[in-house]
Amino acid sequence: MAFFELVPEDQLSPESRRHIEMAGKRTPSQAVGPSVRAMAAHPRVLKGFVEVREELNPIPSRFGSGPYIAGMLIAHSVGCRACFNLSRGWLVKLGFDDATLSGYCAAPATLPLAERDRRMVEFTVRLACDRNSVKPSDFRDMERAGFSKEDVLEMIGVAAFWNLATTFGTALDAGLQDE
Amino acid sequence: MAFFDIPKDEDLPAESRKLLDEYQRLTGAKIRASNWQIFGRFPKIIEARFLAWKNLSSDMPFSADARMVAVMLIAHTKRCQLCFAGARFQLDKLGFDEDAMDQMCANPDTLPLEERDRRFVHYTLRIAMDSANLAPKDFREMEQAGFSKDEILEMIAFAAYWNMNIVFSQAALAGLAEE
Repeated sequence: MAFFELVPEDQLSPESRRHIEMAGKRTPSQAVGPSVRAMAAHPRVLKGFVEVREELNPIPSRFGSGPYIAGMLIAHSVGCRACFNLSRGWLVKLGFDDATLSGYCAAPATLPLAERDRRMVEFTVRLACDRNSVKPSDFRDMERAGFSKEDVLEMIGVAAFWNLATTFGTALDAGLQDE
Repeated sequence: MAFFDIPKDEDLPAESRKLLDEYQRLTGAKIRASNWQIFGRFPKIIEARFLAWKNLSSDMPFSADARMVAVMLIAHTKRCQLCFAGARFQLDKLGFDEDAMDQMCANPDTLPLEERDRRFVHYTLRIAMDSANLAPKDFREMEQAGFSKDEILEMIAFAAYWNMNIVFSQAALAGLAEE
């Protein structure tokens, strides 16, 4: 028996139902995963997670598929299955094949993407996973590569969101495993 | 010259100003936090951070001492100077002296806190730093230690919030540093 339970549909409050629907629209299958269903046991936590995602990881994104490639790599790096599957599901839906995506995960330092996309993904992954290596000059490099300050702020938001999501994802996933 | 600047209030969109005022009022801070103000030109980040703070971090059923010690230790482990300094400032107001705080950073396993607070800090730190290695039995252990499922979800939310917040703070600090 798992520690956390999935909240049945008929036990959701109207507000939680609305948040579950919002979350569902953000998944490739239009159905929320188990971790979001478990989160629904605490409506305020569900609200916080779902509404923050709407703001920090919008669909569509100014960076196209970049936030989901970054999300897949961040989730892969920290071992979050829920976020990895979600990001990968979106990327498959957008036309990426599995072999290509596995190649990205195997060699994240040499992504075969267009220059702008590659820079966006690499910088976002660094902000999420290796922030202490980010120097003031790295921001200027991004500016010289054609990114505006607003673009850079948005990348910080995407990185921050995936750190939030992977913490929830890994912890809830562990609590949803059968003992 | 730094990449980011701290915008003046009059340069901020009205929606950012309103949320920054509300955050300052609710936290009782005398001045605006620079690591929030820096994002003020980008209202959706301010809105996301405010929503996250309100739903995932504030009004938790854990003591202020325990929450601030947890933030200090997460920030110390992740080397976030701004969050570390902020947590120590709050702990100072709560009556902890510098030596006590240094001792807690040096020996996080032997915190001079009430048993429930000590366990809260221990589990929250574990979730923030190592959620990928949590196992179902860890949640049963938390339950046996007297935490309800709702409280455990709140601990996960708190850890996730700080993992997110630290990205904003560290990125802000790097972007505000002189080159």
